[in-house]
Amino acid sequence: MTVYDLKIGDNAKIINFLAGREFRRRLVSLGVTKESKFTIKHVTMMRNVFELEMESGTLVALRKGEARKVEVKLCKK
Amino acid sequence: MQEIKIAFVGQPNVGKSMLINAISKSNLKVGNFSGVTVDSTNINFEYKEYKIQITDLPGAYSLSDFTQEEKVTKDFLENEEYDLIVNVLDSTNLERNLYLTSELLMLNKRIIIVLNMIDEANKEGIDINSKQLSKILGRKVLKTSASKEIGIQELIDAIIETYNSDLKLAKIRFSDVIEEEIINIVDILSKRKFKSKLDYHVLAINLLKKDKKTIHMFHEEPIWIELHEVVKSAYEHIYIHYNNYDIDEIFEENRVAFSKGAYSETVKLTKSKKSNLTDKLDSILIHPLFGLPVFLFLIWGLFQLTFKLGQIPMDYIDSAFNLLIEMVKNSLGNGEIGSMLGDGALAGVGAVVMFLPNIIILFLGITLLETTGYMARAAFLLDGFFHKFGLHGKSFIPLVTGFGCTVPAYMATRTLKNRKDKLITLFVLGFISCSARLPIYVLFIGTFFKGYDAGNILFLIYLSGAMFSLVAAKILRKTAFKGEDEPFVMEMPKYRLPSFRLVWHSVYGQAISYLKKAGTFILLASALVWYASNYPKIDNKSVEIEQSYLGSIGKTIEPFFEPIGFNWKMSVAILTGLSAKEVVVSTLKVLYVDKDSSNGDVPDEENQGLIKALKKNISIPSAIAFLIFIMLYIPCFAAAAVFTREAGGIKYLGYLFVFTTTTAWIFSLIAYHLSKFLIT
Ligand SMILES: Nc1nc2c(ncn2[C@@H]2O[C@H](COP(=O)(O)OP(=O)(O)OP(=O)(O)O)[C@@H](O)[C@H]2O)c(=O)[nH]1
Ligand SMILES: [Mg+2]
Repeated sequence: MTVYDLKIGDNAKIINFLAGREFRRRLVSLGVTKESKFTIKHVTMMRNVFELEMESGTLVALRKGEARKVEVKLCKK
Repeated sequence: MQEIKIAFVGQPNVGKSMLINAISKSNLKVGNFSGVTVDSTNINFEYKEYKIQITDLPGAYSLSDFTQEEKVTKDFLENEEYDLIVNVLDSTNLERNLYLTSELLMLNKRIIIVLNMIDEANKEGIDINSKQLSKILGRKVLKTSASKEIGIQELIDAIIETYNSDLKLAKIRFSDVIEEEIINIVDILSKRKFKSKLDYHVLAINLLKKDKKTIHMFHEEPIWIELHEVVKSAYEHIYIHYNNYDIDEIFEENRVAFSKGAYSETVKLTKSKKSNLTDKLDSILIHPLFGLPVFLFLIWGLFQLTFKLGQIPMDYIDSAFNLLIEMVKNSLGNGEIGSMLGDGALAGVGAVVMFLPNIIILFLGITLLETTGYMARAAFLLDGFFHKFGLHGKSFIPLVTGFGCTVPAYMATRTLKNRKDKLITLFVLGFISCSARLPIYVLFIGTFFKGYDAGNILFLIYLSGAMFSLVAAKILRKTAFKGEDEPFVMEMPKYRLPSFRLVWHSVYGQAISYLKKAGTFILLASALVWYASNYPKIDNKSVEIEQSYLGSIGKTIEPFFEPIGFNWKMSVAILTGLSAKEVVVSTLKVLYVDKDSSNGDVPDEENQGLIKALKKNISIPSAIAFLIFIMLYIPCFAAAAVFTREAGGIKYLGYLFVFTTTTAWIFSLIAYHLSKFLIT
């Protein structure tokens, strides 16, 4: 399961990055790290862009192509 | 006097530029989104017996070279000379900010840690134990608020104290396995008394990180024979322990763990997390259904205001200038010089200054967009749409900046990582109508579309400019710049109410620079246009304007513009508009009104005179074609120079010129004939 499969309001935990080093490094430096938890805050109408609220409070936007490259596990609140 | 060179480094949008402004009373650009500062800027001032130079660097999430502006920061830190680093952090987002800090600690420099936005942290109930943090990092830690000016004096004192103190060493702890191998390497280096400027500890870490420069350096050294074996077995040890062969990732994880550790040891949350202003606003502003309509409405409202409010003081400015012109002409005895100054220079300047109110309102809108945090939201809403046209969502930021001025917009393309994304954005940016084109639009709308809602037409013009740039981007993407998609990953800042002072400074600065341009460049250009349209004189008598220098230039280029319905005066205005778009208006004014008013028109109604003259001499289809040409052809000289620099070669400017001129010409042709057909 990836971020792309989530709905608004879902809580999830990041398990793995399914893309190269550069992509991973970018996300990690933005605070989107393995094991970190987040909530899906907003999704645009055509499901093109996703907004994640990380546990730290940071808001990060990902396009669907990138959302498909972040493997997650659903978790309860 | 001693000179202290300081580099301000931190993640994007933490308040580096604003902090520098607070320290040095300067006016660096501040905005509430990532990537406001895109190039390094130096600020100099004196304090006590010190000469201080601060370098404001673009924000960097980490010391990689992901985007061009992050590369600027990385290159600066690695190659330039400086005495100390001020590492600015956002107190409300400490854990992530410490990630960059953990990288900076490896640079072996004097560092001061500044926890900025402490006012927000206090409000959100985030309690940071700075003594403890200072112990963990081995550096001085200060709390500041750039916007409330808290801790500014302390920061200056700390800078001087740190400058005069001994260099302390990095103190970041890695996992046991890595620490063990660091010790092994350091042992060998110290046993062999290896000579190096860098600390052994740092060298060891760099070796383990497979830092290219360090490894290259060791390859030349005799010690490498011995070291080589140790390093190799260190890698094995680490690989086996982590069950991972990616040393980069292992170090990344170590940094994340370090930041997490430092964070949890020093931060206590006393209240239930953050304010929910951002939540509330976002539930409307980026609502999946309402988000886009609200965005369009806001932009529409901005253009309505720009026209409607801007209109009010116009007549006053105009009559003030007419008075001035009369006074100048009278006091100079109504001679040639007086006419040159009055009918040429001042008339041209007046025609441009009249639009200052419109410009101010437009810039006020752009400033609010930049400082509230809405900019990133708009990029979020539009990315899907942009993506269809082959543009990156982040291209939105330069495009919006382009509504103000194309020059900083070209610079803002540096936030785009991919070169093709950058080039596409550079090529289509000119189609976004900058504020300098606003006077022409307002003038023509006022003249030719009297019965319509001017604000709506203005909105339509700007919108169609934006549409042009999107379609052009699509075409470029399909032909000249085919390429892979770049990832779109963007931080969304929280909403912030900009202080009055911040907005004032930014709008005031724009207004002043507009006036300066009017008082210098436009003044000169208008005087020149006047001269060239009144000379040469035969037997000391004025010739018909058609026989003047400018007339013959106009007549020469007229054939090119004739098919699209321009007369020679309009063609000349297009030509002089290459220097700056405001010059189009001042040129039209000098060419049309000068002669007419000396033919007996009432002189104290000069703007009315211009509108009348335009109406009399230009047909509506020609006017529409003219507007479209203005909308699409190349910006000004200044923009062209920056474009060439950003695109990386003069040949690109050639392409741009051909590309925009052709597009402008073809669409003006279509518009001219279409509207002629529709009207008659
Ligand atoms: N409340 C509060 N807001 C601040 C403070 N410092 C900066 N800001 C706001 O934070 C935003 C970012 O400020 P900048 O100075 O542009 O940040 P920067 O670090 O230079 O950003 P980049 O150039 O993009 O890397 C602006 O909206 C500022 O008004 C502070 O101490 N308190
Ligand atoms: Mg800045």
